[in-house]
Order: sequence, then structure tokens, then C-alpha cells
Amino acid sequence: MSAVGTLESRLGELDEKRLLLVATFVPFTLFFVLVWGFPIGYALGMSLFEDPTGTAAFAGLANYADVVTDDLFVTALVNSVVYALSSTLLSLVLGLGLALVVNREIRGGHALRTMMIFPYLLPTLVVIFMWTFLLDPNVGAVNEFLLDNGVIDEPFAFFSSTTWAMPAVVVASVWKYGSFAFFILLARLQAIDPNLYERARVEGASTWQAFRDITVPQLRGAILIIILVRGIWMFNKFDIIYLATGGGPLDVTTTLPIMVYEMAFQGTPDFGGATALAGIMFLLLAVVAVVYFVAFKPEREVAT
Amino acid sequence: MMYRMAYNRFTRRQFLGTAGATTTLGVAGCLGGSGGDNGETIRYLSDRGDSSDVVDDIIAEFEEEYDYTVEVTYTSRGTSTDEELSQMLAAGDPPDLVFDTSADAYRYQRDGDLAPVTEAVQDVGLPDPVNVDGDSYFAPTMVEPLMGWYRSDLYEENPTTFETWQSEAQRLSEEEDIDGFVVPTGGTNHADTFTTQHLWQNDVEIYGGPSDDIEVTIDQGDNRERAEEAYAWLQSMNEYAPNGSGWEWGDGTQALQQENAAALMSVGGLPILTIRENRPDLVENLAPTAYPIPDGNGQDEWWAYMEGHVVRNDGEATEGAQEFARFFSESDRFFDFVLSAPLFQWPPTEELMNDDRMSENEILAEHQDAVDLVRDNWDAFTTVLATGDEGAPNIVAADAYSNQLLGQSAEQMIVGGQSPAETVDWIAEELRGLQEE
Repeated sequence: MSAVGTLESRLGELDEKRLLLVATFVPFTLFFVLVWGFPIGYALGMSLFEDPTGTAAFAGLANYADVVTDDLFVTALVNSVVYALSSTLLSLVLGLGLALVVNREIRGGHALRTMMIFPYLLPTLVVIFMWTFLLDPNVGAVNEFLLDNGVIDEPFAFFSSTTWAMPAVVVASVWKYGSFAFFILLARLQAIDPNLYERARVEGASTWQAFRDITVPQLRGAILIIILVRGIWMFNKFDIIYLATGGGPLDVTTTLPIMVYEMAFQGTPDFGGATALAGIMFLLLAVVAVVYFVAFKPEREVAT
Repeated sequence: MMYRMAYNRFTRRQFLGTAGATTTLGVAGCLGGSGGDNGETIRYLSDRGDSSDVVDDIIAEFEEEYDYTVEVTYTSRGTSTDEELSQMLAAGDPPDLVFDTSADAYRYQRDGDLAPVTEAVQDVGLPDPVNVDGDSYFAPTMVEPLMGWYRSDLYEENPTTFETWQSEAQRLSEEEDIDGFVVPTGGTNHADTFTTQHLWQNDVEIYGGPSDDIEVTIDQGDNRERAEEAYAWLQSMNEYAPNGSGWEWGDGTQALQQENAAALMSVGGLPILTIRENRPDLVENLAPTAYPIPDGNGQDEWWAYMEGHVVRNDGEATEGAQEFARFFSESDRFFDFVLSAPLFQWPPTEELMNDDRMSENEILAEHQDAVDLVRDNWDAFTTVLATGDEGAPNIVAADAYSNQLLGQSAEQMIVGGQSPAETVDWIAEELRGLQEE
């Protein structure tokens, strides 16, 4: 083949690759612009207007100012952080513990692994129905157990108590979402080279030392990703909290997503304020994610 | 090489074609739409999914007679009409016709969102609670008065006064291992009506003044003292009640059904309809009662929801919706609609209350005491909207109900630990805050 022929052939291949790239890239770009970009841009645009679905008077950043000076904003922000952190960390601890157990050759390990997926598959409504029934002050099994064992003197309405509503919602959330951490950590545990443990044992390392110096470093990347992803999901979580408590009592479980919903769809609708608050949430999470990536570099851990 | 070339040519073209077609179809699917009714379709939002059989029959009759199609959206369980409507408005997709309360109708009229239904109201002879400058904006189809139900096998007698309720509830809670009462609190309709009605029972005038100059008077003069007394009574009754924070109608009914509470204030016969289905053995032990009053007071103001049709002016079939609102009330099946939930829904006029079909209804006949309670107190029925001077429409009350502020005031006291006096201050401040918005 002549030099010109070779060049033409290479250019032809390049064009085909480019065409394929464009054909692959354009539909997905269009799809994401349509499904993500447009709604996000539309919502952020709405946040700059007073009564955006009605008279739509331009208000600049007034909606943002109104939202952050609202007494409920700080309460909802604190509740969101408390809920996201506690449910994520508890899910992680629970998931890690169970993954370590199941990773060993124990009787019933397969059954336990299968059972762990069930809470994740159950619809949130069913989970909340189950938990409200369990914690019901009058017929709930938990109350009955605590009463029978003399732990409490009278039945306790967990979801209606200012002290216990948030912990109760966190427990229900951990029960439902804990398996996410479990499966990721179990997969990572099973990928650890058993020779590492063998070598450590030969060199006299205790079980604790092996866990600390082999298991934890190997799991670090997965743990960081779980914290980031699960943390963001729980920060934005709406359904399980709203179904359990509706944000009450006295706003002790009102998180930012619930505040957005209440502003938009309850009482006198305030779409401008609701979209501004959604924008603030987006900004907060973006900042947290960037700081997190810069500080911990979880993607490097996963790559290794 | 031949294979590779063929692969490249075939795959690229096929891929491009498929991708293009998929994208086009996807975009068309996203942008496409409702089927192009050109304004001939009346979009109807209703929370009466339980009566959908009758509603669908009325719609079928209407569609036969008129050149319109009615597309009905029933609110999903757990979602209020307000929430569903807000979502439809946010999506830029308003309904033409909404089944709602008179208080909400007045709010929408204030906001300039309604078209009049004057003919459907004034020509048919219906009550006219949302009349603005001679035009009617709400076509009522039913009233739903509040009503209590108590365990007649446990309570020694119908405890009609604050004092007897308190002593009886205490006795039951201490002797029978069952809570004597239910005190719902929080941002729910149940808690809001409950708190408001108890304030009314102690003659508290929460508001005063004409429609265009409503004043919040709950913390002024004698009202303040009476309001504190009513809140104090609720606080004391809560000693004999389960924690009812955030309780909606269904939660209270469940407590009664599961025999965790021996009495419940609800709306009409709603609890009975549920309990008839699930615990028929319990029905004969439940008797209807009025909200309690302090010794010497009368049943002067009795909260009765008025629900019916409003026509929005921003839909695509406003005239059709106005026609439908009238057709609905005049339909032969209208009474079937009212009686699709007997004891809970009652006809909108006293004349219709005396209709033969009321006495022929089996469930109503079984609960004649509830029917008598409604008949005997018909003149005391009022809506939260009619709380301005001389029953004038009160926009502050409508907004307060929409935000369930009175229910939240009870929660501030029962769950938040405020004193009755602090609670009165709290609610007065919140109500005045609404006026300023």
C-alpha cells in the first residue's frame, strides 16, 4: 500500500471513530440537557422570581435572602446535617460489621447476605408502615418489650416525641439503607488478596493488627465513597422522614427537603422561595463534595 | 479486513440511524403531550376517589348531553387537594374544576384565580358562602359537620360538658386501661378543627370585624381569658390521651378501632364508616356526641366543612367547567354521590336533609342518633370561613386553616411545653403575621 493510501485509510478510520464518538455523545448530551440541565436551569431561574408560576415578577436574590433569614432555615439545616451524618455513619458501621461477619466462612452466611437486600428492596411506604407499627405507643412490639422488661413505665410515642422522633427516623433509615454499605464493603473485602493476611499471620500479626493494617486501608476508598454518596443521598432524603413524621413534632425532623416541599406545596405556595432553597441545597452539597474530593481524593483510592 | 470494513459501515450507519430515531422519539415523547383536546376537555381535580363510581356516572351523563369530555384526576392517598393543586400549578397545568372547601374557594377568589359559578348556585338554590359583589364562586355539594364518637359501654353517660368529660376520661384512663380521649395536635386538619372548635365551645371569638378589615381578637379582653381556659382544658384532657402529635383523621379512628382510646372527636361519621368495615363488633358500642361545652354554654357554632366545586379561570375549558358544576348539582345521581359516604357527607341544604332518600338509606337508619344530632344542630353549623362579623367571609381564618395554625398552637402547648397563656400569645402573633403577608 502506498503512503497516500495508508494516510487515507488512517483518516478514514479517524473519521469513523469521530463519527461514532459524535453519534454516541450527542444523544446522551441532549438527553442529559433535557432531563437534568433544563429542569435545574428552570428551577434556578424560578428562584429569581416572586410568584414564578403566576405574575413572575423579577426579584433578584430576594427569595434567597428570605429563605436564609427564615427562623426555620437554621433548624432545618442542622436537622439535615444531623440526619445525614448519623444515618450515614450508622449505616457504615452496621454495614462494615455485617460485611466482616459474612465475609468469614460461617453457617448461614449466604442466607444473611440474601436477607440483607430485602430492606433495600422494600418500598419506603412499607418500611415506614412497619416501623410505625413496631414503635406504636399502644400496640407496638418495641413498646411492649420495653414495658415488659421494666425499661419504661408507660408506652412511648417515638415518632411524636421531640426527643425521640429524630433517632427513630434515623433507625428506620439505617435499617432500610444500611445494606448499601454492606454490599459495597463486602465486595471490597472479598477482593482483598488473602495472601496479605497469610503473610501478616506468619509475621506474628494479631487479628486486630491485621484488621487495622490490611483491612482498613484496603477499604478506605470504598468507605470514603460510601460517606460521600450515601451522605448526599441522605441529605436530600425526603420520603422516609416525611412519611414517618411529616417533619414534626415542632419541626424537630424538618430537614431542608421537607422545608422545600412545605414551601412549595403546603399552606400558601411559595415556589420562588422553594426553588431558592433547593438552589442553596445544591450549592451546599456541591461545596461539600468539592472539599471532600480535594481533601480525601476517594477516586484515587478506588483506582488503586 | 473485509469483515472489519463491513462491520464499520454497517454498524456506523445502523448506530447513527438508531441513535437518531431514538433521540427523535425521546424528544418527541418528552415534548409531546396531552393528546390535543383544543379546550374541549374539562380537567377535574377531586379528592373523592372513594365515590369515583358515582362521579364517573355523572360525568358519563354530562358527556352524553354536552360537547365536552371530563378528565378527572383523583388525589392520591395521603395527598391533600391543596398539595395536588399546587403541584399541577407548578407544572403549568391547572385544572378547570376543583372539588374543594369553601375556605379554599375564598382564598382562590382573593387571589383572582376563580371564574364565577353564579348560575350553578343561585339558580339551583344552593347556599352561597363565597359571594363576592353578587357573584357566586363556590357551588356546595355537601356539608361535613364535626362530630364526636364515644364508647357507650365504657362511658356511663354521654359526657356533654367540659367537666363531665374530664372526670369520665380520668376514670376510664385509670380504671379501664384505655385512654379516655384523643387530643390531636400539630399541622393537620384534624388538630386544627379540634382546637378551633374547642375555642368556639368556650365562646372565644378568634377574629372580629368585616371581611375587608378582619382583626385578630383571640388575645384581647375576655377572649384571652376564655382562650386560656379552653387551652388549659385541652392540656388537662391530654393527661388521659395518647400522644396525638401529628395525628390526622385516620390516626384517631385507628386509636378508637384498636380500643386504645374510648372517645374521639372527628368529622361526621368518618370513624364509623371505617370501623364498620374493620371492627363491626365495635359499632354498637359507639355513640355520636357533640363537642363538649362548659357548663351553661350552648352549641352556638359548630364547625361544618362545606365542600363543592370551584371553577378556575386559568384552565382551557372554563365555560365547560361552569356547565359541569351546575349539571353535577342537578344530576339525578347527585344524591347518590352525597350518600356514597353516609354519616360523613350530608346534603348541602336543610330541605335536602328531609328528602325521602335520606330516610331510606340503610346506614343512616342504623345511626338515627347521628342523624338527629345533625338535624338538631343544623342552624349552628358554620364554616371557618364565616367567622367575620355577622358571618362575613374571613380571609385570615381561611389562610390560618390552610396553614393549620390552630392545630400547631395545640402542639406548641402539648408537645412544646408552653403554658396556655404563652400559647394564646403564640397563636395571636402567628395569625397577625398572616395578615401582614
